[in-house]
Amino acid sequence: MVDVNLQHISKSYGDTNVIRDINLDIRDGERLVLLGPSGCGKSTILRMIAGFVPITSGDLLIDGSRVNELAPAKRQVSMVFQNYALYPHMTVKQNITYALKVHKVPADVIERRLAMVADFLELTPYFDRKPAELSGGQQQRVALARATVKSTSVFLLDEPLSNLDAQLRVAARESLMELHNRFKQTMVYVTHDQVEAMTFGTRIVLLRKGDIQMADTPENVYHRPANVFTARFIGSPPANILSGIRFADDRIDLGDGAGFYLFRNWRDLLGPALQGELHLGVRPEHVVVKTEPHPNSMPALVERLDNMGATTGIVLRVGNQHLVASSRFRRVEQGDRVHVSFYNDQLHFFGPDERSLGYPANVLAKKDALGRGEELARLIGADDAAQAREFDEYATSHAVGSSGSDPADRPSIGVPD
Amino acid sequence: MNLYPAKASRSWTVVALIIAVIWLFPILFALGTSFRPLQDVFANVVNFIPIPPTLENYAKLAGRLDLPRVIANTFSIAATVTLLKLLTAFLAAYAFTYFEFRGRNKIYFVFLATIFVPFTVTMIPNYLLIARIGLGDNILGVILTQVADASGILLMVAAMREIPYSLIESAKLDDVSDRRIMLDMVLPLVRPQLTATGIWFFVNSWNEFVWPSLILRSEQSYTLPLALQMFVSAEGGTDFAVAMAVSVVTMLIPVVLYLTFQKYIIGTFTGAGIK
Amino acid sequence: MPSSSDVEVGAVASAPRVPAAAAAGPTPAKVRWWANNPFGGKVLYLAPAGVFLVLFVLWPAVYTLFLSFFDWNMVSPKMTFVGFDNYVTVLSDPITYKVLGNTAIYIVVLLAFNVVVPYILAFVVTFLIDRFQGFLKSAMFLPSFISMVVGAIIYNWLLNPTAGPVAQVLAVVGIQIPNWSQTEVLCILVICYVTAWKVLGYNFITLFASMSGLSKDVIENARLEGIPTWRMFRDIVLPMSRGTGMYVLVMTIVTGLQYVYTPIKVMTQGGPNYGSSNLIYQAYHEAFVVYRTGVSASLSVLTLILFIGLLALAFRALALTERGRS
Repeated sequence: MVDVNLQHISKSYGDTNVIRDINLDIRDGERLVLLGPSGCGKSTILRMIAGFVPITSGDLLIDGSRVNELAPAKRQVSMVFQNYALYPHMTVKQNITYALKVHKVPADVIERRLAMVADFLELTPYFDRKPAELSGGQQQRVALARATVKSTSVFLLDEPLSNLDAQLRVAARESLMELHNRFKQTMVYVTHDQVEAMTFGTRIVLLRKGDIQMADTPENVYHRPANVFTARFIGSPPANILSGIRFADDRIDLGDGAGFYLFRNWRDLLGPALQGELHLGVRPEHVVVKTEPHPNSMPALVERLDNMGATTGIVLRVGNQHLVASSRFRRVEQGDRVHVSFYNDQLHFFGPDERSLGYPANVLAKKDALGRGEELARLIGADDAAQAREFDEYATSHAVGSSGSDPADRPSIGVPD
Repeated sequence: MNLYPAKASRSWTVVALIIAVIWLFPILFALGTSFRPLQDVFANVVNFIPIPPTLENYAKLAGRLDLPRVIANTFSIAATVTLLKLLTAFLAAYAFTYFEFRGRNKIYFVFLATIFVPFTVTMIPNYLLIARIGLGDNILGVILTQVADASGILLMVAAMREIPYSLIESAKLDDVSDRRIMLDMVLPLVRPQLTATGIWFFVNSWNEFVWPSLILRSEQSYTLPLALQMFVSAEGGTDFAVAMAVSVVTMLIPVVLYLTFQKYIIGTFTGAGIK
Repeated sequence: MPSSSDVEVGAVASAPRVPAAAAAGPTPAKVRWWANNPFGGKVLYLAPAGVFLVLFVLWPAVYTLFLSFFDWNMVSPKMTFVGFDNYVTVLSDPITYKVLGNTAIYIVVLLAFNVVVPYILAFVVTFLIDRFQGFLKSAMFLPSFISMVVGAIIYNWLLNPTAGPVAQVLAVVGIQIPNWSQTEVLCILVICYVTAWKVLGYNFITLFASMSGLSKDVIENARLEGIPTWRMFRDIVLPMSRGTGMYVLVMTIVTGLQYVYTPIKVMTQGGPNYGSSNLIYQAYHEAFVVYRTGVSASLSVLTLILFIGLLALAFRALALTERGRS
């Protein structure tokens, strides 16, 4: 049972720092995903753990002892490489057992482990084939088998699925999860694919230019991004980040007169911070687009529609900002004038330093962040009766949202009890 | 790539450096000795550092040999051979790489098979042929047979195969003629390999000994490696220091070419070269 | 068959109209006379190289075979057909067997110097060393650019058993070097060493490139698996670089025996008592020293057969190891 600890780890080549003072505790048995764009240092971290890249400063602990200077072979880790790194001249069986034989593991032990792993990964029929005679998925399983058969507790995976086509990838990911369930290794998984990261990881470490941007569960990385970069990187299409927005007179101003009323739960939390220019993040699926004005909505122009299969991306102009909404229905057309609003509990505010300003207690308290509640109620965060009353008062005094249309609209906003 | 931490590699580093020094030593020894007075050379053979340096060996050499003439011979042979070999190899490689024709693979095989024919198999008929067409003791006779070497085709084909074929296809879609494709696209793209191969050919021809020694009889038509033989007797000879001076003259141009273009050359011989 | 006007009427619906000139095919002016031969114009590209190779390699090879059936001294106007007599002479001459034996020694020593040593050196420089790679490559390859005559002359003096620097240095510690140029086998070793000095660098560079090109991940995986150095060389690097290794091996056999000609000529002239002569040098000796053209030609033909045999053997061995592993 093995933890891996990175303490103040840095890596520089000459004057270039590729990894800057990273602290990370990888816990026994977890599936930790290192995620980030190319050049973020994720592979470097993996290769430092393996021992291929010398650590410039800081301490690397495996199972509690410092291993900075230990040769890769002595670290008790195994690795699956992006292109599998199978020995091309050896058969599947030789590939899996070679290292054990070199280290003089007794033949019966080798046979037993081989049988178990190969059986699990369904490789037995291919024992006498060479890597070139296998499909990509089979090669990938051989690489997994070879790493597993060593019975090390730390399992390093360097983009192990990226050379597979999309359909194989799902199956391969599942067999990887099963492998983990069976052998409970501590897995460190490098990828640039956020979908892989979200589905595979029990924890995601998002990296950018050698810094950890956020290290948390997939749910939190998605719903509670710690900074603008995280919000932008995770999610497809990415979250809208509206920059240069201002808060005044209880309203968020998006420029050109467009804006919306900000509820007290946010105002109480962010009050002092909301001075000056801010960034507002909102995911496309949390933007509500309607052809009619609705509570707390802003007029917008449909600039373009992007067909993305299950959903349609609606590129909008609101005030002087552009943003994308995603909708399962295609009810608007290019050039339409529409009205948009945001789910109150799905807003993300970031300060000028691009860090998250946090979330109101009632938003954090919501358990099922992914669930879609009653739409209108969520529009105004109306799981809280006080907020509904608050908006009513505001709307009456400012004539927001209904903009002159039948005032009977407004009372119809139900407050669920 | 280095497999093990610095500690383990230190002894291997030392071993490799010692081998490299042993490899370079004869060159340094020849260079140093060529600048030492003859009596010193025999008085102290081990120390080869020329302090103070003297040019007396080179002066003696100039007196015994028409050095400019010999160098001119060597140079004109090497330059002509290089140009002809590059031209013939480039054209043939182009045909083998980009044309489809009946028997292409068979002809390619026969061409490359000539690389494996030992020179003794061709030496008598070639000698007779060169003599019959009146080129015995003539540098032209040396040039002709040297051009017949298929190794350039091998290197050029390898270089051309590195060019993405889509480039050629796109030019063909634009209705560019074969000749223009060859001159405007393939030629510039293989220029690095062509240069390196050219230097290799030049140096090999410059150093060629076997065939010139059969054809060239008079000192007037000697090349540097042949002239070198004049200063050698079985036991090293009394002209040893002069022989070192000729050696230095002989290796000067190849070594300068090598040191100038070594990145190019090593790149070509290791990159596309042989796979 | 419809007339052309019929086609036009039938085709109006949607087919784009083809300009008349293009429809008529390439303009006749562009067709050159040589385009009508079986190879098309392509023959012109092959011709220059082909002429030289046919004239100075292929035809002479055939002519040598022809000469091997004649008794001739290269200058006399009289050539006598003697059938296989030259071959009988060659094969019944004890010198031939001595030369054949020497050739075998040459091959073994050349393989050791020019394949085994550079293989190990390339492995060391690629995988065991992390500095000086550039210098080592340059230094090892440099002699490949220097005339073999120069090398032979310098080594002749460096290794001179009485007056040479090596002998004098060794004399200080009480070691006397043997008179190698007069000692059988030893003279072959020295000649092979001088040849290696020139040739080893090229093989080293070639193998180094091959090894640096091996999948880095495979090597790193082996490292992670804790494979010891020797097994890394034998089980992983050697089989994975086998293609280049084979090339180096074949070229060493084929060119090596020819390369040693120059140091033999400069250092020993085939002596002592044919002790350093090989098939190549002997063929030269017969042709240009004792003027037995037919004998020389038949020796050359035998050399060629031996080369072909060795090559076949080498490729066979490669095929066998390949099969043995699968």
